[in-house]
Amino acid sequence: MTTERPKNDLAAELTDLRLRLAEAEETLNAIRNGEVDGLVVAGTDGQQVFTLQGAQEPYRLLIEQMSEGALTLSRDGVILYANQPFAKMLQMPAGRIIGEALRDFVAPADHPALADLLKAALSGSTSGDVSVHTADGTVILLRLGLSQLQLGGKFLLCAVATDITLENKKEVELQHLSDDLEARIAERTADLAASQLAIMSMMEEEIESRHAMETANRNLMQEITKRKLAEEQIRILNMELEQRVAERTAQLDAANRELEAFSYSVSHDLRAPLRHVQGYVDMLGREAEGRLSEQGRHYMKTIGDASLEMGVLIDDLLAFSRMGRADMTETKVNLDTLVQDSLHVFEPATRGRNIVWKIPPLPAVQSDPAMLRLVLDNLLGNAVKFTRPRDPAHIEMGCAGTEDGRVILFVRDNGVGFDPQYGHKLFGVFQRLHTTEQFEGTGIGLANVRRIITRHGGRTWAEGKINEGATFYFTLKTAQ
Amino acid sequence: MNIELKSILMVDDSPRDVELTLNALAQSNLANEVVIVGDGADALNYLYRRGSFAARPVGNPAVVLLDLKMPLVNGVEVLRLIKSDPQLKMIPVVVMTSSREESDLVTSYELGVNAYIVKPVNFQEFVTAVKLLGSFWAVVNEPPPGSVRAKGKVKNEE
Repeated sequence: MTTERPKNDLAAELTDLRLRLAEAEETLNAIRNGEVDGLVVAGTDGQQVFTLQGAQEPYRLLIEQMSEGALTLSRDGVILYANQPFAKMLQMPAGRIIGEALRDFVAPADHPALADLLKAALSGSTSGDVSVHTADGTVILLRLGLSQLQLGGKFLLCAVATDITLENKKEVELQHLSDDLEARIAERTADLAASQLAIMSMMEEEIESRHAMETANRNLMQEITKRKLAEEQIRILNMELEQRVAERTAQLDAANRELEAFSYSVSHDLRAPLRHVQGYVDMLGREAEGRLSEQGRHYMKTIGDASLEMGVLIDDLLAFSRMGRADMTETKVNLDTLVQDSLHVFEPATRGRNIVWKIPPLPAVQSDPAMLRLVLDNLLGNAVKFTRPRDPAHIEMGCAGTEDGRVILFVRDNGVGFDPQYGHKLFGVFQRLHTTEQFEGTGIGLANVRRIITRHGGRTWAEGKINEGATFYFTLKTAQ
Repeated sequence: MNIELKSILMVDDSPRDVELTLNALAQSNLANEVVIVGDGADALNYLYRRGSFAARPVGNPAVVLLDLKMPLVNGVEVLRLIKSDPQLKMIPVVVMTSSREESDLVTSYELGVNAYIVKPVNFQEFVTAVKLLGSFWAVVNEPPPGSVRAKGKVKNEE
């Protein structure tokens, strides 16, 4: 049944309703404004008084206007109340927050940490940091300070949340910087340490090398001293040596002179008796003329010849020893002229013989002319003598190079030569390689040659083969 | 004792050399012209006419044949004494010796020897030398005044 209610009734109801609404709004406002501490509500069971949570206004204001977020949590982490600042932090209306588990706003990575916090809070105040997702997805870091709260007989938790994201960032940055700095310090320290080590080791090296140098210096000084001592010793030894050489030379000179004097006086003393033998043989010969048999005359002649030979020997020996004692005057000698002079003497001996002479221009030499003349007489004379069986005889004289700054001269012939096996004997005194029957001679000549050339500081030697001629070499200083 | 004046004074200590020289001189017929003394001292005695020769007639020999190597007063000494005495120094002295020593030569000539003969070993050569010597000094050469010519004649100022 639809009853049309009288308009008056409706209007009255409306006004009544408006009044009640206004009352309700007022109450709500009052409640909102914190002017109401409690409500008396007539309910079915009679009047019920509800005390509003957070009744005390100043405290409510405090809670709502502080900068930190504040929460009331159940023991298992459900948000029973969240203040405006907290809602602002999460950028959500408080209505969406209240009744949810705090865990749902915390980053999954921090769930374990949150769980620990909640657990710890049950036994005492605790605090910790958790990352929380805001409505637009950003992650903020909240520091939660949790403690117990007893409210209306229930054990709850209250939490204060401080947004430390910035701080944390700064902290992190600072930490980074600090770490960086530390790292850099460490690096620099390490560098310094390293360079210090390096410097130290360099210093050590420097010291070592200094020591080494000092040691080297000391060694050097020692060496130098030793060297000087050694040099001094050498000098002294040299002096002693020179002295001994001079002494020995003097001794040798004296011995030589004695020998020469001896050979001179001996041969000189031999001449007198020899002369007598000769003379008496001669006188005997004249005395016994006619009275001697053929044999007798032969014996006489033999005695005479023998004594003649002896005479020649003695004369040669005398000449030889005189050669050693005579004074020598060296001068520039024209060898060509000297050779010609010498050859001149052989003219009688070479008359009637076929001798081919080959003597090119010879260099001027530094020597005693008389002595050198004897050398030439002997060598050329020998060549003439020992080529007697040859026709033609070839006698050659010339230069054969130099030795020790002296010119090598030679006299070569194609005569009877000699056995090279005995070549070393050639220049010995009284050494002959042929019998007197074959070729006359006393064997003094070459000894004289050697003596003379040696006194000139030169050398003599010979080459030859039996029946293939001989070459005699001697060296002399050339004259400028 | 009648000592003849002879033109040759020979001073030599070796009898053999004396014999040989005399033999050589004989071949030149000069053997009789020789007075022989065996050492330097006697040589001086003869020349100064003293000692065993005090009684010899006055007159110098035409030549003195002087050997060098002699005992007592040796030849060089005799030569020196002869050549430093004004009375004797003009007497020709011929050294006849076996020595060809340079020093003897030099000394002899420095002292004024007139000739220096080295006695050759070869007797024939010796004979030749003596012949030449003898004929030169005792015959060819004009001896100084106061000396005896060969054949025993004293040369006076003529």
